[in-house]
Amino acid sequence: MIPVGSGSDYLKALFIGFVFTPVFFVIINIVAYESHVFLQFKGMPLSIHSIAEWLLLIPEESRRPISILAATLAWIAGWLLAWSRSRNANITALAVITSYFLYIIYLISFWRIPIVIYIPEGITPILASLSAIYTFELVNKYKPKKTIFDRLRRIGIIFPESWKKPYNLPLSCPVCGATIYSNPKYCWNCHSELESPG
Amino acid sequence: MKNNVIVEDLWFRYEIAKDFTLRDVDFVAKPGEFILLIGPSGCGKTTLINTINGIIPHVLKGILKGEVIVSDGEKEYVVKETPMKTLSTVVGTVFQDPETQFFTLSVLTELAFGPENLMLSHDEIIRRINFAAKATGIENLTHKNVFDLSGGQKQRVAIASALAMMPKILILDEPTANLDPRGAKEVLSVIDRLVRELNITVLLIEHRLEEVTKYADKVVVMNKGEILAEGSPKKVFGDPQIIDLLYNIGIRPPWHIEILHKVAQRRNVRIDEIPLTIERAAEILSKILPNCNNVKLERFQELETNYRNLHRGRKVIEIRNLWYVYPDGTVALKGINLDIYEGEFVGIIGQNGSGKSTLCLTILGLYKPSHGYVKVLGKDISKMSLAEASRSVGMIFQNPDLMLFQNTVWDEIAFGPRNIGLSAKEVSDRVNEALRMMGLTEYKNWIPRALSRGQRHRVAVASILSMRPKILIADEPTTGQDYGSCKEYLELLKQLNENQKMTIIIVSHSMDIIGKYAKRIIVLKDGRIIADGPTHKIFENKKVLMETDLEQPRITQIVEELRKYGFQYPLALTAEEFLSIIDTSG
Repeated sequence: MIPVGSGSDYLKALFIGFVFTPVFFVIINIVAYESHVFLQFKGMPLSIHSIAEWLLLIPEESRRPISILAATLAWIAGWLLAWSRSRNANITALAVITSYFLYIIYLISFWRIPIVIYIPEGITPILASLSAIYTFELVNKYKPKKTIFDRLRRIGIIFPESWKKPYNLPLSCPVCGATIYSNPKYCWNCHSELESPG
Repeated sequence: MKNNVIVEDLWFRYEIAKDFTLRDVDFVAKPGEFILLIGPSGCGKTTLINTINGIIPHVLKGILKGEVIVSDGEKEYVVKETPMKTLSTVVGTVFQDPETQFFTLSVLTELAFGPENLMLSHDEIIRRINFAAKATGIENLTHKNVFDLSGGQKQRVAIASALAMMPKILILDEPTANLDPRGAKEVLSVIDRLVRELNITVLLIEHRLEEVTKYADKVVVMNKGEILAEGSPKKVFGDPQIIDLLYNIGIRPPWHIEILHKVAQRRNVRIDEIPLTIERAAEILSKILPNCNNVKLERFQELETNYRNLHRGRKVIEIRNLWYVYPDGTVALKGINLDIYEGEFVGIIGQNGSGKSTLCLTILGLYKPSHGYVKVLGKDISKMSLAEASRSVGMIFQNPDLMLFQNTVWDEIAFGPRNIGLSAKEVSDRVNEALRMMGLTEYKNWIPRALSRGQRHRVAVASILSMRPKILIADEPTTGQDYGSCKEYLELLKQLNENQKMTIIIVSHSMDIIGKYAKRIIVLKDGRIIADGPTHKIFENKKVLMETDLEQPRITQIVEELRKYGFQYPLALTAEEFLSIIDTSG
């Protein structure tokens, strides 16, 4: 699949996903901890590289079902947030994959941590986030769009349907044939009323 | 003391200025006198009123020589020795933009603000609020939010909040500048009532002379810090020497008076009476004008032909089904469909709140459409960054101060070109060109905020011109400007339109300006287009004018009045057209 979209959308998505996935993971950890469910966080400070390890499901403890679920939720949340900014699934998917490799490069270059990817657990979070992105994209594409008129109708403001259509310009006055370059109420030439009552 | 205001041998120079802004000014104002202060931008009118209300020397410092004394009828106060708190109970001031004077959110608390700060009793505060609200006709608005009011209503609230201090002197600095014709009439009639019923002395600075002349007791003409002439309106505008003087300093007398003088000159007739209203002017003219012999105006034929053939040109703005809804739910634009072509000079008119500024801001790209689209030079403006959009469309805002933020005029004008990566030489060439066009070369190293409002407006224009946009939008280009500066500015826009095929869109309340310069008019009301066509055709359409509460240009109004006397002149839009009809009629 060739991603379609601008470079800045890709970088924006990458930045948001790369930063917020660990953030969501920490939040999930804290909430779990307060609920007496112990994931990575057990009351002691967490280092950034250890978070990255858990997101890639490298330590054994991170491959417990509950930990896989937590990591998966963090990936999904972080990358749906990134998708919501660009609304472009292809760009976001590329950013997901890039981010995955950036975590790996980070761990190898800075911490000399050996990387072992366990299949299928190790790729579950990334596959789940890609699925979530494309599902949301499909839903967004096919769901009926709320227009400004729906929102106005909810607060009791209704306009005539004839006011909501785009026109092919220039118009021709039906009475005198004068050319008109907009959709006015009156013809400039014969002063006839052009607008149908709402 | 017989006079409420005495100004004697007054000289004033601002700290940063080299020259005196006021020079040997002598001036008196009696109780219940309505004084109109006129003069070109930068002549010292605002400085003079600031010496009366105490802003000079208590807030703005400088070298002040001479005396300014004000009186509330019982006691005299030397302004420079009296604290502002005391002066504010004698002199009330209303500035051009009422919103800059509001401290609170509701009308009621706004009216109460001043009296509360005087530590008055609750009963007294209520009494004053009721008095001020009744005097300005805003009793039914006291429960409202000040920012939900129309322009005319806001200005009346500003006047009321000054009145609540019970001043004997009321100073108004261009109170109708931001108002549509209906709002302006509203405000001026309130001021006139205050003078007649409450015997308040009013000092009014105003450029819209036609509206205010009939109310004024005295007209004071200033230029370069000096008073050049003063007297009743009939005396000042009836004296040919003063009229010449006014032209020399860039002030145009009221249109109906000007046209009377010119017709009298051409017909070699003496005018015995100076009319203060258009109706009276038409009556006098009816006695000296020749009958019209089927004269047609060529310009009108050209306007109509150009309009019919617009589609043969290049479309620069395409708007389809444009809706704009503000965050508070106000629907400002309702289904606008519009094409504008290269080289057009379009006037957009309508009452305050009709959607004119919203439409312009959407074209500029500052507002994203809630529905529909706007394409500028073929590209959807909502998908362009502001930087990209600014190369195609430039806008000069009504309040130039919103656009000025650099330390010197040079830097202000250079800001745009520098930010699009032009070389130093190109930037310098563009800045010098813009300075020359706007007559600002001598001010290039000045701080923009130290200039007069009209000059700041010119700096704002120059800063846009240096970007050389294809489309230029001017929002109320003549606000706060005297006739001379307006004419210069509009002639410049006309030149840009004719010589460089720049598309010009102006939004204005001045029908005289629109009638003279615009070739096409779009009339808005409540976010919809009511009419769109060649200028003269729109001003002929009484149905549209009545529905939108707009007026024809003054000359057109005079011609309409003349029809009551049996004169069937074509509806001229400018003084020049009217005079050419007379010349042709013999």
